[in-house]
Amino acid sequence: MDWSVLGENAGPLAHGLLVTLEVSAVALVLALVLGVLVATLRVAPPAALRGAGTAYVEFLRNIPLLVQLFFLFFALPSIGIRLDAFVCGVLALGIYTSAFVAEAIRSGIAAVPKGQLEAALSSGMGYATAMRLVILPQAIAKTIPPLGNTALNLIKNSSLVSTVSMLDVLGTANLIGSRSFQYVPMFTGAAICYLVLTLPTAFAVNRLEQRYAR
Amino acid sequence: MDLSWLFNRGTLTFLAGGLGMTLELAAVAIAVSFVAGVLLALGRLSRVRPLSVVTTIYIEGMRSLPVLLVIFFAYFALPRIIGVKLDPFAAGAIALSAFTAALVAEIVRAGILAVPKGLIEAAQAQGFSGAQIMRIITLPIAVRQMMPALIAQFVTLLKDTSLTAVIGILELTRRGQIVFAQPPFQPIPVFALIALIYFTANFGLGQIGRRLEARTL
Repeated sequence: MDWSVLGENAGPLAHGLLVTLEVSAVALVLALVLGVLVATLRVAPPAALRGAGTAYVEFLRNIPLLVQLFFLFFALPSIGIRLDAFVCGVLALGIYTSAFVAEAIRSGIAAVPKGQLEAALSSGMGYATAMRLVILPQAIAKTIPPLGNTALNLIKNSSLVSTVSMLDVLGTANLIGSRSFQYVPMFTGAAICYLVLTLPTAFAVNRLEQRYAR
Repeated sequence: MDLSWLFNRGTLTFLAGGLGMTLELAAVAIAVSFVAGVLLALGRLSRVRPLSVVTTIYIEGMRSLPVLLVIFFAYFALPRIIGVKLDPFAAGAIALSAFTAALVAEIVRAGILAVPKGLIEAAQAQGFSGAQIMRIITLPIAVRQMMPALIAQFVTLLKDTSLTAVIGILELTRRGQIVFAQPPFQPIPVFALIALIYFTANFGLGQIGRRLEARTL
């Protein structure tokens, strides 16, 4: 085992870290936007909308992310849709994670006492206004801990983009490991990169959790 | 659309074999990670300080890593450390078990901490030893409470088995790739079929969890 390989490849690994961050950040924004939309579908009064929201969540949650990513990357070109690896990665991660975001927000909304919505509606607000001004602000406070965990999982899941040839942290470590046969140092370096990303996030989530538990 | 290239005996048998491999891998990892997870949780709750520190580091460290990294590590790096070559199935099973054990440990720990203190004090007053209380009172109650979370974790595990395709285990996803890489090169029907298989398995497992949740609450 030659640990100097890690020092020599600090540059590529740091670049991989940036790619991981970039993919995760863009996918997180997509997941939050889609997730909020789907969560509101899941609590909407018309049963058809609720059904569509539930179908969306169950469909995405129960199929492996790798299968969804491979679908975008390998299957869509067969019908003439060619997306590059970054777009595939962001779309797959963002859409998959949006199901978990929607679930977290839905359970947050369900945790807001029913009287709140009834009071808002009877004081003359429309359903959308009541959602926006009364229910969602309270629900979002309750969903911060599960959303934090979802964001952590998103960062970890972003490693799957290495399977469609992207050089994120894991892809870089794997590439250099396979060239130098120094897998142990390279994967250890990659593990440290992920710890650097996830441990502070986990710590922040724990703090928020404790604050909202009070 | 002619799908006879997919829906014929040979191809379907090939894919069914992949599902078998997926389920086998999941079953091994569920069994190992459950036992290891209980031991890790007991270690973390132990009053023996070095034991609780080591198990806490393992649990928190493992939880912070991508499972794909753990799989790569087990296949490419671990053999260089232990000096034994691992076949893909062994490496995949070790990685999935080691990773899931950390998450199971946290679920078990939360379950143990949720057991009402009065029950444990009552058992102590009856003269039960610590180990007896854990075995007869705490663990059975904790296991019942944590079933829904455990099942959700095992759904995740079942999905994670797909990642072992990248180290060449011939499970469902890998076999799907092999099928669409052959004439007539149509990936979409193949993906639709394997997605449906995963959905059925995971949704079914999730429904069991939901039924247990309704019963325990």
